Amino acid sequence: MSTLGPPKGRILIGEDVRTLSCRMQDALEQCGYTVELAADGEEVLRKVRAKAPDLLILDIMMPRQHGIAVLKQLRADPVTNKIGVLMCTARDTPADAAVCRELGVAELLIKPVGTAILVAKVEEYFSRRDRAASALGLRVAAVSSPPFRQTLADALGRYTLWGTRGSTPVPGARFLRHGGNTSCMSIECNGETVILDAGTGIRELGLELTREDCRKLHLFITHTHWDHIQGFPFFTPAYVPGFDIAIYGAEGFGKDLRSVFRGQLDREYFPVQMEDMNSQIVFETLHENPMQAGSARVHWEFAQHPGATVGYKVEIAGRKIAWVPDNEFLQGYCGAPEALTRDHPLVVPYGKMIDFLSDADIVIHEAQYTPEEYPGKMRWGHSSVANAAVLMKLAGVKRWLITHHDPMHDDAFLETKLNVTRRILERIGHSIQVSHAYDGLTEYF
Amino acid sequence: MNRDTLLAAVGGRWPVLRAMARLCVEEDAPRLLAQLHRAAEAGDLASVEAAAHGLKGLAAEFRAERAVQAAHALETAARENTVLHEAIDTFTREYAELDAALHSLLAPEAHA
Repeated sequence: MSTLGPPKGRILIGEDVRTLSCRMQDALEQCGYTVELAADGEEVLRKVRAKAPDLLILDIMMPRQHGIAVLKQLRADPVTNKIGVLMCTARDTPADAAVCRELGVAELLIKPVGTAILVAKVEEYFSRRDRAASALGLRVAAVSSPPFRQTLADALGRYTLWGTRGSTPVPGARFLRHGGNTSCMSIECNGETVILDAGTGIRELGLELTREDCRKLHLFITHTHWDHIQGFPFFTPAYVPGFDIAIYGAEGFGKDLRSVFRGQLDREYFPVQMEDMNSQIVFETLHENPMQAGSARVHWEFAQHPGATVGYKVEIAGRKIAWVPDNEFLQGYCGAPEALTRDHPLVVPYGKMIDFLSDADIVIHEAQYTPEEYPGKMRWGHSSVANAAVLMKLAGVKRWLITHHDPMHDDAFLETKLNVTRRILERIGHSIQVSHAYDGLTEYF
Repeated sequence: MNRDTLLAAVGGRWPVLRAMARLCVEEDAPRLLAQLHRAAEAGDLASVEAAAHGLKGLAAEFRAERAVQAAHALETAARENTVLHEAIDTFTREYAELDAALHSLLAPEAHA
């Protein structure tokens, strides 16, 4: 996680290759800088205007506006023409170097830019800038301007998918890329942790939490099927005094939440019991909607799945992140996806879920079966890709992470399935950023 | 590709190296390779050059010298409108080695 304390300066990295920007971001955050990323030229322009970073590290060859074109626009705009820029490129040509000099680039860095060099050049830039400001009797902007994370809206948070497999864990080489742990994700922000579901992915999260300072955990369970609770006996914080864990879930049709959790720790199933868990654990049934969990506001909505199952939408730091791993949208429908509209009689019963997702910044939702598989899996509680795509369209979702991968689907199959998903979305005319969730995926917001 | 060198380049932070490997094999490389093949089929040399450029930077990030050289040759071939398919084949072979090395970094038993 990035360094806490006053930021040394705000940096925007314009780089379309995520592998590179990941390393650069990590290195600079370790040094105390606040870093944002932009993946193309237009995003760079938008973020420079919105965030006014102290320094821009800009790649030359970028999609949707070449780096030099971006730089020319920034220099032509009186609001942005003073921004410090380090250009970064694998294309080392005298022509580029000359243009960069003309446009006031502080440094042209040739890829691969080693971490030490990158940090040194950035430190040098800020040091030079601060000296110049001192000489002019100016206050140094990086110190005098409001901290980047001062307000809730600008707070740095992250979410991590710890388990993205549905039904049952799957080990083995064929599942490496997506991972085999069952459902679990965490959202960390403002020093607080919200956990969604307790499948086997929660084990690894638990190990990480014991190394961090946060001791108040909010665990929201969508439903109590095995793949959403089976990791809890291996959740280390539950055994550690000082942890305070609140577990929330919908009122079920049979046993209450506490009984279900206690039941899987019966002696017949497990060597230690809930009484051996030394943390403070409380169980709460969902009533208020939305409800408050620390600084997070948590909304919930019933999903179409056997048993009492809900989806959650966590509103924190101005972001809304929806988690609906089990939901059979348009149960039994195998027809063409483009035929369906919001007022179609088949769609109307699902209106609440559509509304629920409509204002989410990111939706993490299943699409477990291909259209070919779905007729044999109806009423198992999971959507076909086509029906889930319709839900995304009707809710106007712009970013969709697909989770709860079927245990029969190995990496190769899932890659093909993602292509099918994209073709269906094209066919129904919904422009959306869609990708597959995988165990360990972390995104900052 | 030397794992110790790569690890040193990220300050010995193993999770960062793994995150980079994952981003490479799951996001960046598939996207750039798809762009490369689409552009080559369409005879769009500018797009071939752009994709090769991106792949060169990606390979350089993992110090995969032969893949860097092959990507550079491909970039040059596209710019100079010379025979592309041989350059693509060579790069594809070299990238396959890098891909295998990255997958070994992602294997559960792999550790710092």
